[in-house]
Amino acid sequence: MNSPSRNLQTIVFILIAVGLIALALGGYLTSFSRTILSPFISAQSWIYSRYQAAQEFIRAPQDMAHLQQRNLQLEAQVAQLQAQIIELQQQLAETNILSALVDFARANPENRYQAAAVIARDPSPFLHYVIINRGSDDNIHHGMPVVTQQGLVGRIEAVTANASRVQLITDATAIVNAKIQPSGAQAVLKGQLSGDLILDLIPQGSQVHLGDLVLTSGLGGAYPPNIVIGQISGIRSQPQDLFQTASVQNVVDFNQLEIVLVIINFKPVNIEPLLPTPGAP
Amino acid sequence: MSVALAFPILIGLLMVQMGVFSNMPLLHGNSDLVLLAIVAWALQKKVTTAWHWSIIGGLMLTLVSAMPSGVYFVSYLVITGIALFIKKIVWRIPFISMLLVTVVGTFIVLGVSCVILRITNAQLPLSYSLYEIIIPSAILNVILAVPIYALISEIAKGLYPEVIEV
Repeated sequence: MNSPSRNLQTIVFILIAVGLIALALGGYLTSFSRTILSPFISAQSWIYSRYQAAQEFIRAPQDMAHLQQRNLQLEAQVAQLQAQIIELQQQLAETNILSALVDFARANPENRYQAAAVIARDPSPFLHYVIINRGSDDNIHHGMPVVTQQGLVGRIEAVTANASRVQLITDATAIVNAKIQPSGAQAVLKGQLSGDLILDLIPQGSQVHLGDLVLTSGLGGAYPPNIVIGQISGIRSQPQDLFQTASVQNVVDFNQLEIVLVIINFKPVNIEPLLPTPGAP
Repeated sequence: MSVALAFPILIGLLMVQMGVFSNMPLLHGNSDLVLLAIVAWALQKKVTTAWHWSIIGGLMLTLVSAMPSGVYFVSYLVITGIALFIKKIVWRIPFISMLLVTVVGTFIVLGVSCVILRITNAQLPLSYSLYEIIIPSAILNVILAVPIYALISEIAKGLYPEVIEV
């Protein structure tokens, strides 16, 4: 049973509390509370900052290991993405080449082509030959001309089931019968050890100019006519000589050969039996 | 065993030579990894199958190259003979012998190639062949002789382990 004095005490206490709340809500205790609470807040901040420092010190090695692991993961991902970029760039370059070759094939519907990739070069530095990854299984035969979308590359010189050896027109033993446009003069294109092309046996009376186009003439039956070889880049003509000679800037970059087209419906003609032999009647 | 080993090693080196090193010329000269492997093998102390390696290498090159038949075959046999002779007289310094035979061997292979191609009517100016092809090829071969010799030595040591006398 509560005594009346105790009840009075409670009522006074509640009134004081309500009064304090009312004063606080009214903003009358702000300066007072700031003065009282400020040292506590400072102390609390200091304690918490010390705690955080201690926590970081304890957790640091764990975080470091985690970061290192994450770094390794990201580095691996970067390497993978870089490899992917290189692969995609390679595919894009290949697609561009193939697209150009398809355009070339469409522009020359009279020929049937077999695309092939260049997989190696002849081990001898004296010879300008490449190996392609198509052979007799793909209907490739000796003597077939090889081109790119830019122009003449060479001809098939040896064939196995899955690979063929191509003699480039820059080889020192390669000879191509050519004609010069627009004059129409006939000449013989010879490869050089340096990889240059020389146009020989140009008739002395022919009008040849720098920049004239050099095409296959089709004479001799080794190459189909009108395949682009290059442009005249220099002329040597002496009045006492029987013929003029010219250097030719080839249109095909033989150092960057990647994919080539073999003209598989062209059958080279062997004219050797028709050539006169020395001592024959 | 060592003869059978010649096939994967020489084929592998030939593929690298035709696919990779032929695209990295010095002027117009190229390296000849098969030649280097044959010379390095011939100069190893306990090796007795140098001629076999030479024949296998020569046949492989004859098959893949457009060079007239026999050029590589004969050249490699001559170079192997020189390597074995050098090994006999200066056996204590095989690495110096390797460099010497590499230079001589390069001149023999490319010299014979040049002569044969000139006989077959190829237009090969001699000075151009020497300065643009043969000498740069020799330099490349000397540079590559070091790793090839190290590789072949390790293979030879694996096949013919040293016997330690106690």
